[in-house]
Amino acid sequence: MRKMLKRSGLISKIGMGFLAALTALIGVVGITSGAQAATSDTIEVTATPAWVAISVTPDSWLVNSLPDQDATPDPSPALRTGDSLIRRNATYYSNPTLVKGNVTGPAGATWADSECLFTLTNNSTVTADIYVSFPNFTGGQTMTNGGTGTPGANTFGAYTYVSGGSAAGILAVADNSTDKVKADVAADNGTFKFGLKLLTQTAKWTVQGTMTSTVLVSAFEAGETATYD
Amino acid sequence: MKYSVILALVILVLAVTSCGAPANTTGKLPPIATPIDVVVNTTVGDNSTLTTTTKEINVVDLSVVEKGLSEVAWITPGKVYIGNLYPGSETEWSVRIHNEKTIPTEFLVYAKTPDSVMEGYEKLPEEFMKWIVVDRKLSVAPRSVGDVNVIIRMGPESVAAGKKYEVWIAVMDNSQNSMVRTELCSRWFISTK
Repeated sequence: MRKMLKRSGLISKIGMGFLAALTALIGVVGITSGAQAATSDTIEVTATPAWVAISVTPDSWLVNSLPDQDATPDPSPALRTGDSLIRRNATYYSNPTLVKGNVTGPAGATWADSECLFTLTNNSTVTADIYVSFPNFTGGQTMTNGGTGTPGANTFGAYTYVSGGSAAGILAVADNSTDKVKADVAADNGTFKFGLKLLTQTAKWTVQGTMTSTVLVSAFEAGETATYD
Repeated sequence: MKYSVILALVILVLAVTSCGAPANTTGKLPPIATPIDVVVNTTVGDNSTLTTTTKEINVVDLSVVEKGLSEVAWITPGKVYIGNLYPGSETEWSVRIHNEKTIPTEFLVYAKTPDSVMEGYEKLPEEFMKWIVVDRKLSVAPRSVGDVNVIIRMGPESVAAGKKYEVWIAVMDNSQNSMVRTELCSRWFISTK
């Protein structure tokens, strides 16, 4: 029987067929193994039950709008205040208690509540972190934020300062600040006070008119040290 | 021989078909309207003596939370975690926006590169921001909420596999016309395979 099968070549044919099937099977395993790593899985989505909300009051700052409260007004035009006109190469603070309009920094080493114009309230159900960005001005001279805090010929510098914080403040760039202005603001109406510091360009103005920047205060749920796997 | 080869080819065809292009998995999720924690009813005992106990675990009544925030604009959720996203797949979730005003208000919704990231994550690279598909504007009725669908559609880039990215979904009231404006951000954490 065996001789008969061998003579007909059937064994070799069977052997080759088996080999083909085995090869195909290996191919299937190979293809399957290669594809499984990237083609299917259960995508998991989890959301935390947190509500994020903030409010800032007031919602505007007219630079250099405070009248000079000094009994003896400074004769220097550079320090003349209260006329809502900003000078070049000058520094302005959103400080409501200034003696000379908006041109004076903190009375002490750190900022007091009374020296900060803005109040931010965290209405969120969670603690929140805060960023402030100070975009380029539009209209009028259209000063651009130089991003370094130091004004240039046609660029301005900007900082955010917070109550209890250093006189220098936190650098505010045009798009996303580099550092958090405030971290972990308490939930359920926690507040903090902050102000803005503006250093105007050094070059002479070439265009008159009102310049406006839209300061953006961003809030998000505070971070955690744990990581998600 | 012929039949063995045909058998082999059939096996090959079936294998290629079943393990072909990556499947797009859309994780359709329920609206954010159900309590996160639940009331548990436990029945113990045998047929003769049945005892029922009820255990209440931190039931969260969303309506109470949201009523307490009726005077402010808010968004929820604060954080969304997406796990096991793989090249070619997609999933979605929604961000809810509350309009506290007595008039219809338009909100801008957009993906944003984070200012900072959670430990263990990196900012979603600029070239992958296209993964985020979200409507730019949503008009919300007075004293009401609106949901914006956010789709995360991972591209085929294998370099993005095995990564942990953070991206923000930012919401801004487009009716703000003051110098100081606020922006609320929902943090999205994407873990890829």
